[in-house]
Amino acid sequence: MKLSRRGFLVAAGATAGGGVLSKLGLDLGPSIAHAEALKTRYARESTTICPYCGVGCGLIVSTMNRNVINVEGDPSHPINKGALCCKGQSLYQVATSPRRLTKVMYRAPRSTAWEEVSWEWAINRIADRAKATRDATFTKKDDQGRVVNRTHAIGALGGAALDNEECYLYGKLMRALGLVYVEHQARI
Amino acid sequence: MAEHTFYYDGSLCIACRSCQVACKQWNYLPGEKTEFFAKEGGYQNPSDLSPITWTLMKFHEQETQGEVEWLFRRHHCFHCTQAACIEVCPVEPKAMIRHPEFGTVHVDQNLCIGCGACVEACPYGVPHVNYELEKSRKCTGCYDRVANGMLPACAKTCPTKAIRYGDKGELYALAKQRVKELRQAGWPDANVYGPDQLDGLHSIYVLPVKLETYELPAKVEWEYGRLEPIKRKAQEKYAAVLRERGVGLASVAGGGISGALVASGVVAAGLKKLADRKAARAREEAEEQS
Amino acid sequence: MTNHWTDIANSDCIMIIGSNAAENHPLSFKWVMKAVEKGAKLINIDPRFTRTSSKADIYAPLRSGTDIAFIGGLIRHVVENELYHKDYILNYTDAAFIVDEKFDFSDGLFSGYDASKRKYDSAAGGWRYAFDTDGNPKRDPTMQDPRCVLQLLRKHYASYTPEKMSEVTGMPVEKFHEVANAFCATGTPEKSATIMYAMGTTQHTYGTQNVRSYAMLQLLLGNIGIAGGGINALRGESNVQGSTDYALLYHILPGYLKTPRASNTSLKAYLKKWTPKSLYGDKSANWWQHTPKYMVSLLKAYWGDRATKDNGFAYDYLPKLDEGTIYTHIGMFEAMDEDRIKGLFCFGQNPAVAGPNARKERRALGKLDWLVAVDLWQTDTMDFWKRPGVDPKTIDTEVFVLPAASSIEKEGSISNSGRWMQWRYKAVDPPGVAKSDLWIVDKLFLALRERYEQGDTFPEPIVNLHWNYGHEDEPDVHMVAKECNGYAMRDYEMKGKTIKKGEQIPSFAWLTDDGSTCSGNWLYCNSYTEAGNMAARRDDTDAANGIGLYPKWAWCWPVNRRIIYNRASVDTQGKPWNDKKWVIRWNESLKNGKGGWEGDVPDGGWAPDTKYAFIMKPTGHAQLFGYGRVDGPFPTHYEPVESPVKNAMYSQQNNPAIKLWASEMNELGTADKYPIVCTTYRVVEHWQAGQMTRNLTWVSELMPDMFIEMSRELGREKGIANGDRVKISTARGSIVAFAVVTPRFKPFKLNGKLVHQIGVPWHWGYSGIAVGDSANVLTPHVGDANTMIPEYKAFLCDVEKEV
Repeated sequence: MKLSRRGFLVAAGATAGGGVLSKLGLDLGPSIAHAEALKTRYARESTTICPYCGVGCGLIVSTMNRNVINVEGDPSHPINKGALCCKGQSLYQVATSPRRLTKVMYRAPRSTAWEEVSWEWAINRIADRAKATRDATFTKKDDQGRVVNRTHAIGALGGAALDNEECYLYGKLMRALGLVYVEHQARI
Repeated sequence: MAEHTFYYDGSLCIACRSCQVACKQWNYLPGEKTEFFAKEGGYQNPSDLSPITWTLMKFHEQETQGEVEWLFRRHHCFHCTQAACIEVCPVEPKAMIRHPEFGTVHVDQNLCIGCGACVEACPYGVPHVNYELEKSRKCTGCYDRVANGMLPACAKTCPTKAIRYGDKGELYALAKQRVKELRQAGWPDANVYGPDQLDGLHSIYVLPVKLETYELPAKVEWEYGRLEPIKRKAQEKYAAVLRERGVGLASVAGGGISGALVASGVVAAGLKKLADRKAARAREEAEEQS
Repeated sequence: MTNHWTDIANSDCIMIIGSNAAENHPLSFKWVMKAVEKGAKLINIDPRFTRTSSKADIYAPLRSGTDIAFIGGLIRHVVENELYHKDYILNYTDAAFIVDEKFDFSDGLFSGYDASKRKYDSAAGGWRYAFDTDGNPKRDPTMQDPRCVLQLLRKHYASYTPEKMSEVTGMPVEKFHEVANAFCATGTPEKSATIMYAMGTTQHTYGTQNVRSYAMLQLLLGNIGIAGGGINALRGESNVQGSTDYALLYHILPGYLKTPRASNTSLKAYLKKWTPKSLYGDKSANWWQHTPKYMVSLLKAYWGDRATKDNGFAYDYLPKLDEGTIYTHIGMFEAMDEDRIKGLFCFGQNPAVAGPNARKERRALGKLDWLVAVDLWQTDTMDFWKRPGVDPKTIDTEVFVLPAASSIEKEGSISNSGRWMQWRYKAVDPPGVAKSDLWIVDKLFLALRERYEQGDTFPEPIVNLHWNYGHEDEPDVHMVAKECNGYAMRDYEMKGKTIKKGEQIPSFAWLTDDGSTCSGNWLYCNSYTEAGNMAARRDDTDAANGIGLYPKWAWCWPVNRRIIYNRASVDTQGKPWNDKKWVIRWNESLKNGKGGWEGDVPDGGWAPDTKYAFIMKPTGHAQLFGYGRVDGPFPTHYEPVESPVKNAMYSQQNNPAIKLWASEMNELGTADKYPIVCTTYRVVEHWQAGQMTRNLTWVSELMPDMFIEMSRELGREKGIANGDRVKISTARGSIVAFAVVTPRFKPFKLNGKLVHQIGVPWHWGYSGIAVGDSANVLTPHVGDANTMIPEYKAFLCDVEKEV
């Protein structure tokens, strides 16, 4: 879903003002005489939810030419009503940071450096390794002869930063592989 | 339209510093390299306002009769009514300007020559010159946002509405009311800062404890004696800049309209036209969609 | 959270304990301050004066790890002064239930303890109610029987006097009274109080019991199920609620179904073991009686048409837990360090910084054959082989780094602490070749399936896995979300209605145990129906009761119920305890005079007094007597594993049911060498293990360096001034940090003895732009008896000035 340009502006005026300003009888509607070029003026807008803590604040991401140009609180969102903390307010930097990982990388045993590899190579190699480990360690029945169909030699960690649908598929795959060491941030 | 003001209520602030980051985000200001913390009493960083830090949270620890208090103050441009920075700005027309409608003060980045007079004159240490760009940089009051019906970035992002922005008269009144409430709620020293300074600041504070805790001057004098030499020195620098740009000095000294200023006037008029066109388009768009 | 974020504004009294909400959940303070503006009292309990404390009406310090001594004191105060909500506890809790005569408690130990196994035998200890001839718990409606739960509770907490509480916690007696007077005044029907808590509560060897003690206090005061009430766990990651609901934990399957144990040898045996029987017949909704429908629907979602009645819906495909193995995070790293785990998938987690006993966990990573790390950033975990002090040439692990898309570079949903499932949209493409986790999981699966199609070891669960999410390069996230909700596998009839094959299931009440339906997570059934994607809704109008439920904004589990246990917000006739902020109420005029509920989605639509309020419990009553925990039915004060003092209440020093690891690098410290209490925490400027903030300049600027906070008294004693470099040592290791010497920490006076406490944030590591020593080098591999969550929040250290 996309907010229209107007949706954002009107929402920004109405909601932000709704709490503070309209109560104070101030109209912060567009001030035509001194209108300034707003950097988000022609941007495309989409809503998102903050990736940091569990409050679940709403944000509006403004993009131009497929680049993020601004991120700020979603004034319509019932929880944060346009406000954010310093982390949520930093989301722009998550999207634009030159420090983001942009390549698939591999570090061979005893190597002192990363090397860039292709997705295809990495996925195939991981599948080979996972299969080899699973097959070598798979337990169909335990000492008491009970069917257990599991491996104790592969672990899965993480997921609190993933979407629900990703968690679901990730969990589904790991359990189909017979993993029982499945854990994530909630445990620590 | 009536003037605006920023408003900061220390009794609501949780010092999350989202205002600091929101300011950097909207204005595309880079992060600063810092170490540990700048001051005792809390987590302040960077150590001061700078060309790339326009708003800053200050922390103060206080202990009275075994009870600890942790107090916060959001520091940024006060947008003074008696603005020393405007007074000393040598550029004509002034690069340091008061927004005709909102009353806030900002630097016209096209006009500013980075002479540093405002830095020297400001009683609160607000403006800072970026020497690479030769421009004075400080809080703009987010006049671009405000002119488009949005709150300033810091006021919008504040989780507890400790920072507000709006009609000066109304927020001055709210501050008074809030101090009354705080005094009843166990903060006998609660006070307002701003209305009594420099003919009324366009950024006021509701402070739960005594002013001294916040290292703020109660009395800020408008001292012509101090400002005059700053202004004179700045005018000389401006003249030198004009000379460098090949503009005659006499016109400046005589106070007449120099070639340079005519030129900037033309630019300004052009910008205004552009802005008018954009505004008209905004109006049309709004009508279309309503 | 039993309630949700905006509901905090409805509270009359807010106690923030084990949480620094202003710093770690700053937007909660929008609602906290709103409540305060309306006159609510804000109480903050913390060893250290924080940004949260700065806004509190009452700040009461408490030594880390002594919550139960404090809450026990409040429970005693409530019971002795009869401040409880009597109708509520009588009708909605087990306060009037009679307990088995064998149950006993003496000097810190419950009946049934086997010291040789360090375990309780709850059956032998009589941890159950006394039953009548119909098999239902006996009750004494006068609540005077000395064996009823209320009287046993009174007896259990009789020794938790304000003076004893103070001696243990270090909280001044007068502070305790201030808190008790404010908080316990909410036992009246028209008042509500909430408890906001987080990891300061849970990260102890008795963390589960800490939480239980809060819940018990709230039950006594009638504060569960009502507006402005509840016990509210503030979750620290954007989707740690969802990832828990989706069971990325060893002990559960999606929707909190139990992971099968080896002893659950068939689907039938599994369902028999884990489907609880209703007590009190029809009056108990006993919602978990529907376990078979949810489990079978999950198996159908996993294996589709290959899950049939004849093969027990492919139950054998699921891996089974070995009952003797500890699979928790700590257990996993212990196994890894013992060379028993060879490969690790790590999606967006950074255990090299976040894991307890980080030196050990970093070493353990080096024993893996292969590590797959998926992240947005170069993390300390993927860089473990080149961490300071280690020669990469000695580490054999193959490491794969897969670059992932950020939250605004893909589409999908996350669930917040208040259980709201909210949809996010893609704004831009990920940088470089980075891909969504969904894409990565899909590609891994396809590569594995291709291999197992050739046969080999037990290929069936993989080749038969139902995996159909469109034909694009990226799986269609809507198809995944629809499967999570569930759809009909064939036409079927229920409640006089036919649901056609392929139609979305309207809610979990429509799930079946005969294979007609699939649902990847029954709790989310109702989130993506024939009416569309409920999580994407953006209508912010409020419900009729005007208490900020926002029922049409996004979607909330279960079945869009915004406040759970809300049948306890009304009396047995369906009349709200408080008309001014009612959650649900029975309206006789609805449904053509048949009557119906209005307000929030009720905890079941049955008429008042036809079902007991707590529908998830077999008895229909909330449990003050918590017989299901491994370490006892009543929370009991124990000292942290590492403590500077003897347990002042019992001769049993520690939680008797915890696991102590005997392996290498698990040294524990004693007070003679390490006399200072240390705790870890977070700050608003950084996030978790730091990868999402230590790579950003704007927040790194605010908090560039690792630091330690200590009192001025300790600073003087150790000759440490603000800004000095300080070495902090524990039995696990030592780190160096800048000193913040502050009046916000104060030494505790415990029975005349002065005990110092310090604190360290745990965000830093060796990768990123803001780097520093990791606090978790200091923390031990010991955990809670029930969950094995590490005891990060109270351990022993010493500090000295670095020269």
